[in-house]
Amino acid sequence: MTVVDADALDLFIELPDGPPSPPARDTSSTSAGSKVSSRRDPRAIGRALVLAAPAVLAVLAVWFLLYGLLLSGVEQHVMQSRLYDEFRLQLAAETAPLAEPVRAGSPVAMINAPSAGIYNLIVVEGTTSRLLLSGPGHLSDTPLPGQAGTSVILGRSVTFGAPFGRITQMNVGDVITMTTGEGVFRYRVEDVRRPRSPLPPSLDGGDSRLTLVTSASGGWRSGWAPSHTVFVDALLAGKAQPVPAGVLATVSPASLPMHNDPSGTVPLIFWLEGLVLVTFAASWAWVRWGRFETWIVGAPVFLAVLWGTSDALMRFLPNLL
Amino acid sequence: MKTTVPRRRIALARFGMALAALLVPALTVLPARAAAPSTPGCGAPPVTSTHGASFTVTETLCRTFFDKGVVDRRSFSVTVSDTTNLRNNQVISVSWSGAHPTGGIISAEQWAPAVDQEYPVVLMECRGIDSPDVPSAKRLTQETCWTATPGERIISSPSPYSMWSLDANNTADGICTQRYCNVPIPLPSNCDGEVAPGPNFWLPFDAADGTDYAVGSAGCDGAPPEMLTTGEDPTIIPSDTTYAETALNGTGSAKFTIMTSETNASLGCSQTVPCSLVIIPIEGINCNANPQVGYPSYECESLGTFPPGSLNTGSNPYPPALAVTGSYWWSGSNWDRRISIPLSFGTPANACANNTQAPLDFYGSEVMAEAAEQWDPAFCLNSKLFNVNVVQLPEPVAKSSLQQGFIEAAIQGEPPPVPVGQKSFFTTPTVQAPIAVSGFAIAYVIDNGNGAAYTQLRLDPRLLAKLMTESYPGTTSVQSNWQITGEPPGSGPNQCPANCNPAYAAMAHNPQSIFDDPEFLALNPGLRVPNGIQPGPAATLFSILSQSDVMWALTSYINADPEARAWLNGEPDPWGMVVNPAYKGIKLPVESWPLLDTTTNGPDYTESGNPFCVGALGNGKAKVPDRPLIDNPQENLAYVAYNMRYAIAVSLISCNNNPLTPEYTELGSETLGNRFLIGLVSLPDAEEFDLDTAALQTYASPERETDNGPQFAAGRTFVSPTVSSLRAAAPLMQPDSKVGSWVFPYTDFPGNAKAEGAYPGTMLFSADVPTKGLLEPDADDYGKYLSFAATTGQVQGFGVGQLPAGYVPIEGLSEEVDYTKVAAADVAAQNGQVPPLVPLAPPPTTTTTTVPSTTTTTVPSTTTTTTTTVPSTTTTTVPSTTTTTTTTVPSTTTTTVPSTTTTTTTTVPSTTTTTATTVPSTTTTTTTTVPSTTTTTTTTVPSTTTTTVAPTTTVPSTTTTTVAPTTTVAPTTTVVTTTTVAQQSTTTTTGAGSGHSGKGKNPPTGLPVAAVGTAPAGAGGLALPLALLVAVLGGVWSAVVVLRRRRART
Repeated sequence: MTVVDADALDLFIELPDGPPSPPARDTSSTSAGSKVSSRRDPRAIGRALVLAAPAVLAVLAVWFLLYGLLLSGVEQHVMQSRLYDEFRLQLAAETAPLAEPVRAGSPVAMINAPSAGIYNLIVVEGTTSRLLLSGPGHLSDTPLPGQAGTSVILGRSVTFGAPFGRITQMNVGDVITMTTGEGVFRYRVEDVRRPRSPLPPSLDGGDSRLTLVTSASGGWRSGWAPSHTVFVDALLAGKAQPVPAGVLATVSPASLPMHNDPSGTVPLIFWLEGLVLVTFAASWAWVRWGRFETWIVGAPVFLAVLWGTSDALMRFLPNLL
Repeated sequence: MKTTVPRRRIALARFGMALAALLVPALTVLPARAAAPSTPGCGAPPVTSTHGASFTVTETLCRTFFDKGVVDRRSFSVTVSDTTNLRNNQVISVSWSGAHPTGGIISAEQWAPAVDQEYPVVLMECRGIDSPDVPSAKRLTQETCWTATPGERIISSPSPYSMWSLDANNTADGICTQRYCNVPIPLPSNCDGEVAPGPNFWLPFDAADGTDYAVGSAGCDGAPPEMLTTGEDPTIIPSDTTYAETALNGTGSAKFTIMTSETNASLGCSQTVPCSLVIIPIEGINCNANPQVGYPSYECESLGTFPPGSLNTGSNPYPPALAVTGSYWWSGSNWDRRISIPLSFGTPANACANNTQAPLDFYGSEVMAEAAEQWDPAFCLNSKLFNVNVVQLPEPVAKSSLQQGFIEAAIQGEPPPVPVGQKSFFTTPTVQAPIAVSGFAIAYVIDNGNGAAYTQLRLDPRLLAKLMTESYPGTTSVQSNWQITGEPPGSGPNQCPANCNPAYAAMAHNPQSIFDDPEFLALNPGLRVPNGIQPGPAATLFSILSQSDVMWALTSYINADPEARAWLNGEPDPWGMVVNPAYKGIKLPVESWPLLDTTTNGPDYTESGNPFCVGALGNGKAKVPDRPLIDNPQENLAYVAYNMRYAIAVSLISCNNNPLTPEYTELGSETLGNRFLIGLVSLPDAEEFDLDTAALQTYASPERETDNGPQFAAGRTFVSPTVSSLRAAAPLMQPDSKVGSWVFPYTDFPGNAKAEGAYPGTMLFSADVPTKGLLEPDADDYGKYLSFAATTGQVQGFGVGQLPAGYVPIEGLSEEVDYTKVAAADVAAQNGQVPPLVPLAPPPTTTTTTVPSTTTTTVPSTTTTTTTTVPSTTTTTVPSTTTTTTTTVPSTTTTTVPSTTTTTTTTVPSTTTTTATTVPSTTTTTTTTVPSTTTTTTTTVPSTTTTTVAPTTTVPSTTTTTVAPTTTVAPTTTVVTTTTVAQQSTTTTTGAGSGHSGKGKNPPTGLPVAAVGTAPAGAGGLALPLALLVAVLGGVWSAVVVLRRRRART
């Protein structure tokens, strides 16, 4: 893990000096614009592409790693703090949702699981990849936590702060506390189910079970390249609330574990267009304004668009990643 | 230098290939999936047709898992007692062997909660025939099977991999394996809050009228009206769907109540709508692999959480394993093990309901109800006859109503006593014509300590007296009540406050209930009383409130026994038990049993911790005498029989715990294994409900008197009600000319060895009809009915016009039969005469010869019997040569014969076409109507004349045709076969479980909750490593290019 990070950083530091500048110099030093160079020497363009394309790809890849493992965590942290404020207000005003239907993305519960390093995480409604960007999500066709039945919470294990990254380390008997509009519910972990684990015993009518779902893997993939889902079952200690209205919501396939959210296609197209625009604008400014000015103006804009693109791109990855 | 570059490239390429080689398998890991081995010899086609009343069938049961093969194999064999001519509410017996022993046993098997037992044998009634050969509208499916509650056909799965999706047979049978089966989406508004989350399976019910009820949770989406939905307590009303238990040795038996369209129109079984009895031995689900991972679901492969034979007391930490409970009776694995037995039904009791004619009314004994159900259709279904209605009325009431002229006919079981100073009870001449022999029975539901039901109960009259005279306290509160009452006024520890009676002091030593009574235990040495028995209901004989001839008969039997009589008079029994002072010296027999214990000195009933009943019923208000609460007599004998059938203790010793309207409530159904109830029922009810009946003492040797040791039972004879014991008892009936009928000599029993084999509960039932004052056509119709009852009605069977079980034909009682025949004529003629019980003169020979011959020859089908021409007053002469079986009587002599022989009756209960003028050669009788039993007995008395009485005037020759009791419903011989759906597991591989991220998955079933070890991450999961790979490769490539260029420049 640390080794990988170091590699990524090394490359990141080294590359902007190296590859991007030489091709820029190479293609545009003699004359202004690519039209000139292409007219002048087609072979030079080919040579530049041989160098530039892998280099740009490498930079983007490094960015993506950086975004996925570090920056997305910041993003979720910001969204969490906003959700926390919203949920706190709802609890105070007693407007926190008690039953389906709940608007997708709105907060429904707060989860605390000290043994998994989870403190005051807000659970949102819905479990598509997009919704899970902002925190753990509640599977819509299961009862809310604290209500009778099995309530399922999905959370990411790698990206976006990895809220459920450590739930596999929980032990039987560990406490998970869920706070909803109906009160505070203490669950005790029954078991952690991995591949080939048996299904949990069926539930008695009035009992409530909480199942946390995330992804995990072993070996070299551990921690950053999950391969399967893991389940943490916890049983409510005490009396469950009745399910107020059993709306049988059929969830979309995108809400199921390890599924991606194809609804992000349109935003992604716009973000990519924006990226291309910014690139062209930067090239133009590089020539017309000068290197320094372009850096000052272009870098924040480019970064912002890149961030947005990455965010949209993440929806195409499994929702538990 | 140039050589180094290619080498690096090659190295890079190799590295890439190595990576690819690592990645590719990771992307394409497929879970191992094995198909369950198909198991030859399992699940043989179980459906069998029936040709007789009862039969046995055998099949092999297997339970198969996809990974373990056959895990359980049994040879199941089942026997059913009755399958033809069934009536509504008839109870049939089903017994079996070779089933998996039941675990987690829950109380009574007919109640819906019993579905949660592990490995029950499910018995249900389903409309249709279980054969692929019948049209689909008449075919039996799960959806035509009746359950009393929606909960037995609706199930929601707590696990996303529902049992029905894992059931290997469901795929093969085409049963829904989806996440939501038959669940309408969006849900109807009624179902808000009713539907449990998670996968749901709704089994609809197809009603007989074509309505398709979706049912839904608690019937929210529309349930048939007969189904118990919300608001009704399913623990109160038993259903006919039975979840029966199997003992540890694999055997079991159950009593199944048949329902026809009379009580369940939605199921709609009737003579025209065939139904089947479906027997499903629950053996467990045949499990497929979990479709996402290919591993077994341990919920599905559970073999049960209760040990076989254990009771479900609620203390087991694990709930019953659904895979082996009755909940999934409809799921392919269990459904394919079913045995379907076609049933056929007799004429319903409401067959006369459609007849709009004003009925001929009989009022009286409910003991005759079952006979009337079968007799009446013989009349009302025949358009040439009339409508009959037998109204149940307490016999003493019916008799006095008849005496006062309010009604035209009464049916009684005991001739009314003649008031002092009068010649007869009736003021108008009235015949009391015997029509059937039946009686009462002491039914019981008693569990023996070994877990089986006790079936050998023996009772003597004194024990019955003890039960009836409230001499067992039953509850501790009654005990203390008596104790306080027995104290001298103003003294003693409790200072008896009111109505003190020192005689109660002697009852302090009475046993609490009959099972504590050493006399009872001495007579029933095989009984080991279980510990959990409620003593309250075991302290009484559940009986009736109203007047009844049955009570008269029962108390006559008790009264005739010297032991019982002495005990009633105050003499303690050999163990010291005494009679309740309130009943001491009671005069028997009685028509209705009085509840005499009115002591109220004790605390109110507090035993089950019901403070509300104590407060409201006790403080400030008139106290309720608490001993009669235990007895709580019912309205009629049928209620008692119903309560015995379902072991419902009606003792009012529970409390509704309602602080506003506190009320004592019935104790309710007793739990299996701890049942102890004794009740008074009629014999036909006992037969219909298949109740156990006690053997009653008929003889006791004189030296038994004071013995209180183990020899107490020696020298005593006990007789159960059977056909033979009733037949033995019937001839004991003695004609009593004073009361005008036959009476049962109860005094014969105690010491008369002649009566040893006779059942003392036998009663003779008679129809009382006046022979004066009735108008036409009623008089004629009553005559026909009596004649029918005396002759063709006395054929045992379950068909129309036959006598059902619980009655014994009176055909052997020639005196009674003759009397009824004569009485029938008198009634028809309204001649004001009452025939003598015993013929004064030697009976004419013809009477004895012709009559029995006609009656006995009624059994075979369509025989033409005696035809006698009486040409006396006729003008048409019959050429004597033509008719072969015609005896011509030489006319003209009209002399009245003393007594008996004034009869040329033609009783035509059904459809005899008698030609007015005898056509030469052949007497045409055309009776082809189905409803059986047309009889015309023409008795010719030679030598004496015939006063033509019959309204069929001047019939030169009447012809007699007796059509045999044709069972109109031929046994439906439908050969039914089912396709063998062996427990082959189908591999449900639809691309699920592969490494791809969900493309091949089935959204409805593939829910995430317990998707163990799914590996759908695929490429997505490797996004970050791929990014790193791209970064490294891109970086290295760029570095190489840059370095090369720098070098080239230098």
